[in-house]
Amino acid sequence: MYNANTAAPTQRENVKSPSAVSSTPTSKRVILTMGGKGGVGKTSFMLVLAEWFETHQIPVTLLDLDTENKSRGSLKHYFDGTVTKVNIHTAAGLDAFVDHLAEGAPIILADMGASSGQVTHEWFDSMFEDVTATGVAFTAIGIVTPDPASVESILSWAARLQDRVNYVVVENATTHQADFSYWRASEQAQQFRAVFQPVILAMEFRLPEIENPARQHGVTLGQIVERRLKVPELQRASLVIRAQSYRRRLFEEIEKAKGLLLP
Amino acid sequence: MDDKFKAILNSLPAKEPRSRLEPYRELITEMRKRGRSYREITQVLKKACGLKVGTSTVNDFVLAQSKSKTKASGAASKKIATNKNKRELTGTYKDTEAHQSTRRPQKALEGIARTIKELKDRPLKARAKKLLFEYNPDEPLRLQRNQRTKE
Repeated sequence: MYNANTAAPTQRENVKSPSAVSSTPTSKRVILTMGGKGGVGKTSFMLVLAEWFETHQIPVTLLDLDTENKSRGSLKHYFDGTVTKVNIHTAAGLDAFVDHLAEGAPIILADMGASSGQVTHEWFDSMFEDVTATGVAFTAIGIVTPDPASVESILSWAARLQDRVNYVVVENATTHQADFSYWRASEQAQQFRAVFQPVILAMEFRLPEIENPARQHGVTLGQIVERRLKVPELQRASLVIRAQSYRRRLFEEIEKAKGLLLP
Repeated sequence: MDDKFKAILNSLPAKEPRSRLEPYRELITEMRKRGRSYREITQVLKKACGLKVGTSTVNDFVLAQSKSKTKASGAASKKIATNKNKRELTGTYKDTEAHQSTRRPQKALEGIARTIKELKDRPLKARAKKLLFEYNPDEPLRLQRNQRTKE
């Protein structure tokens, strides 16, 4: 079983805001995934995060900026009707953030697609200063798996975003005995943790019996728990309890980062 | 002004704003100050205020505003200068007008000179901020010895 206490050493409780984002009082927050590497679990985590906000009755605006992931597995697939699909590969790029915040949303959850780095970094370079002056803060969510490419992806993003965002890193155990050596023990990752002091959360390994049909039918853990579906393979009592258990533990992990997830 | 004329003027109903953008003047001015384009302003007005106007309408409105501001500030400074000249000079009104167009009070000139000097002395804004974290994606991740971590 995955043990959250074995997560990489860092100042998990002593969260310090990066210098560039701490000077302005914040009233709104954009939470975006660092979308360099595909298939690491960005959308899976964002789904649970959206449910966490929903449980606390905090309204969030969901933006699906994963232009490549058009069908199954995208945020829109799970929350169709409440998710706005945004094409970031336009001249205005991520100005959708500004427009949605102007419409009154206090929190935006933006699920970035793989290979969205260049567009995002350019947008930050040109817009960050003026957007934060209006009281908007940014939190970047990075997902690491045992695959070193997932670590490289986060480090590349951090090298561009620097201290303009707060960082939350989710260790996604994609196997039962996940080995996070490249994240926990590489020099570069250690330097990243020392400089930005990310809050690190554990996302435990999920049984394929839940993960695969949930992805196939576009259902969240919450929907499995509440038995709101007509998917026979997800109605087994043991799977329902397991889904409930996964969700509860991930909610507990998310609580550790609440300071960086709320405005 | 003749009392009769004043009475006529006072009896006239207040004039409606000429532009329907008038109620949003402050918002538009602020967005322009923050570097928003006319197209973006048009979109904000549509989405946030439910007001559908063309980009050129917003453009015309902003230009008209800046023109009327310039006109007002010009008239005010002319009035001040004229009164001052009237006090200081003993010539005719024509002389005063000629003076105000060619001469500025010494204090004002000193103020302008000071502003120019400050502007010249101001260092350029440092764009190249020192990076807190650098990463070379072409280099492999270097594992520290004896630190492999497995659950």
